[in-house]
Amino acid sequence: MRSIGGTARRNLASVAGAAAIAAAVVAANAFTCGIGWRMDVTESSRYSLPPEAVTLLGELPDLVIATAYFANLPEPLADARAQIEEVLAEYERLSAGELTWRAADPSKDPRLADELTSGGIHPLALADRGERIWFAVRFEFRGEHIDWTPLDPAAAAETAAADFAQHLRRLVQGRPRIGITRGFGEVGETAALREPGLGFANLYDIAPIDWDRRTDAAYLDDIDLLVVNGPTEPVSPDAIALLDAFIMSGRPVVFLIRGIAWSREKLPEVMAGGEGKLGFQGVPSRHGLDGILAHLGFRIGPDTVLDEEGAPGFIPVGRLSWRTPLYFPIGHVTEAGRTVLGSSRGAPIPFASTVEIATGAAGQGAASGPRRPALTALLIAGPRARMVSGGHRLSEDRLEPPAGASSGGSIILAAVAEGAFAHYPGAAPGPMLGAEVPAGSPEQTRIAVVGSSVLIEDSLFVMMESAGEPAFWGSFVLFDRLLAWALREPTSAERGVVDLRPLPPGAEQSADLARWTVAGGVPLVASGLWLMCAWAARARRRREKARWLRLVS
Amino acid sequence: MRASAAIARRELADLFVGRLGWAATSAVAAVCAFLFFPRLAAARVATAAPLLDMLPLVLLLVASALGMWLIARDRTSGALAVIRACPVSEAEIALGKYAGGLAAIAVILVGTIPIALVAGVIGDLDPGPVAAGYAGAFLLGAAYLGIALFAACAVPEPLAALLAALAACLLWSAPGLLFSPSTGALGRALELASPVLHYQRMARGIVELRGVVYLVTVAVVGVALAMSALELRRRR
Repeated sequence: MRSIGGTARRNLASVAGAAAIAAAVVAANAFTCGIGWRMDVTESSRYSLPPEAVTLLGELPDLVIATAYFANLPEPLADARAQIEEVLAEYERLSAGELTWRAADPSKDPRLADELTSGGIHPLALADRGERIWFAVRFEFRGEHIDWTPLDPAAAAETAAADFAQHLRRLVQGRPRIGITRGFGEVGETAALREPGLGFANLYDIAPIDWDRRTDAAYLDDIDLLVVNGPTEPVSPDAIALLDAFIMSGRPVVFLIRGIAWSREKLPEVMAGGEGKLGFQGVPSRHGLDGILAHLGFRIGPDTVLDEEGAPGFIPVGRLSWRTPLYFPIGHVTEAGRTVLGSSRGAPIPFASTVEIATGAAGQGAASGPRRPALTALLIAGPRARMVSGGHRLSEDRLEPPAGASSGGSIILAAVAEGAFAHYPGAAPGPMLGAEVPAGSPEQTRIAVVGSSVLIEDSLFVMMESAGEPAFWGSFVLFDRLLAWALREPTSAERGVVDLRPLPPGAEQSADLARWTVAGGVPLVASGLWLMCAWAARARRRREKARWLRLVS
Repeated sequence: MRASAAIARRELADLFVGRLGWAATSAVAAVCAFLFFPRLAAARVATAAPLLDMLPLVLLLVASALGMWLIARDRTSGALAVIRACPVSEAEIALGKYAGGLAAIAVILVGTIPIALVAGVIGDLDPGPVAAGYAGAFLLGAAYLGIALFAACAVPEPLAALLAALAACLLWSAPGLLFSPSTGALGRALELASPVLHYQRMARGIVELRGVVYLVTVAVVGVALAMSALELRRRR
């Protein structure tokens, strides 16, 4: 009886112990799940939300539903997917139930795929893959939605946290209104920019500005940012006055100005080279903005920058697309420019003109001391870039006159300025303006100048869409970052997001060498360590044996 | 505890004074290096992700084999009976063997660190995810070893113990290792239960308390079950 009782007690103790351990395990896991403590150890804190996102999540008035559409992703995007899902999970975690996310696979649901396509989410087209690649996130809030598609798929994971904050803010608080000028020979229309799925329409409320017709002060009242979209005809004094008044109000302006105006009507027969060949005549652009630009501290050179190390391909000139053997320059982001453009490394700037910076301009002279505007070179051409000044002609295979000597990397393609600017005296208020213009702009007024007007040209986007040309995404990203900077929006640049850490040139050879070195080196070191351990063990045994022998003797 | 430490030292010495431990370390490092560097070159981005992605499978195999080796070797040689004859409890035996196995896993993982270091020389590697990934790999190895030790204690046949450990670890790790869990409540539950998904988060640079606690508790449960299994075997 005693034996049976002892066994029962032991069994009971075992069961109680197992139950206690199980309870402790469940409790510990439930407790830590509830706490939700996490630490982001990445150098760029890429999984941590920017402060503005945390604030925004705390103030969400209603439920936001995020749906991630991912399907058929190739290797780099598949990695990015996991990281983006981490970011979405973090948004959900910090939203206190006001944001929830889910995943959907459009490749398995043709009806969903059709709905997305008609609603503005298009599958990515990669040249070497037949499948449709879905890589987008839709945020829905009170019956409205905003879509996120990565502007730069290669950096999608790096910028997702900041991008989502920007999209949520747009969805909940509304989109900034961007005016894009037209009427003085501006090269592109803005219709395509309003199309869903082309990027900017998602994030900004695009409004065409007919500054050749209306120049009254109230015209730009609801505009948050003005894009001067490359006029090629002389801008009227009234329009310049309107522009000056806009700057004096402290709102940002992005100048996209090309120093050369292109046309194909005046091409001589000798350059046209026969039927079917296209050619263009370039003459210095008479946009009439030289005065106000010089006043602000900039000068657009009457030239075209070419770079044999740049990007070839289809480019839009006016409304035409045209393949050129003349390589257009890559605008490389300067060290100072990284504070504006963040992780963007650069972008092709087709037929760019030089941007010169004059620090002692009249518009800055009026503002003294700490209010003096700071001018920063944003993009520079490569060291082998060359330029051709004045009027010149292009055919498919010729440039006359030929481009000059290499610049050595000193050509600026874009620059920004921030500070208080003086009123442009050349812009006396015209009869229609009818408002008193202040003598100076508020502090920290932001101006950006790019020596090209094709950044937002319609045909560029249409071609990007149809050809899936990744080179142009760089221009798209660059322009988006520039707008975000001008509008003082927290961007990935301000969050200090680091670059994608590309391998240096020659890394393939280094990796191959490392493969054999490590695969052979570790066994070699292990053999050495084994010999040492064996020797140490033998020495120890000898010592112990000697000790025993001493004891015995 | 002193007995456990002595057993752990003995296990470690058997592995690394002999050739087996170093051979395993070399083989794991060589295979990982051989597979990792071409993937690094193809990715064109400085990342240790391809290396860290390999570690769960490597650890699953290593821990299963190690768990079997720790018990089966002593069982077949009769050393286990000798140890049991000493004033040592079953808990101390299991704990000692587990600690020895865990140290061996740590050495094997350290053997792959040169790969990450060389990758860091080739490109500008983010050290955070690499460090977190290795910490996660150690915890994952600890959890696998706990399960493998339990299987080895519960199943007397060495081959059957190895297969049982492999099957248990593989089944447990399937969400994440073999497939991505679907969405919805089931997907979330699988995600919470999968050790590989917890590890993958660490390898991406997110250290979560729930993941750490989960892997540690699985290891603790594994050792506790191994103690119970040894105790039951002794009673029989």
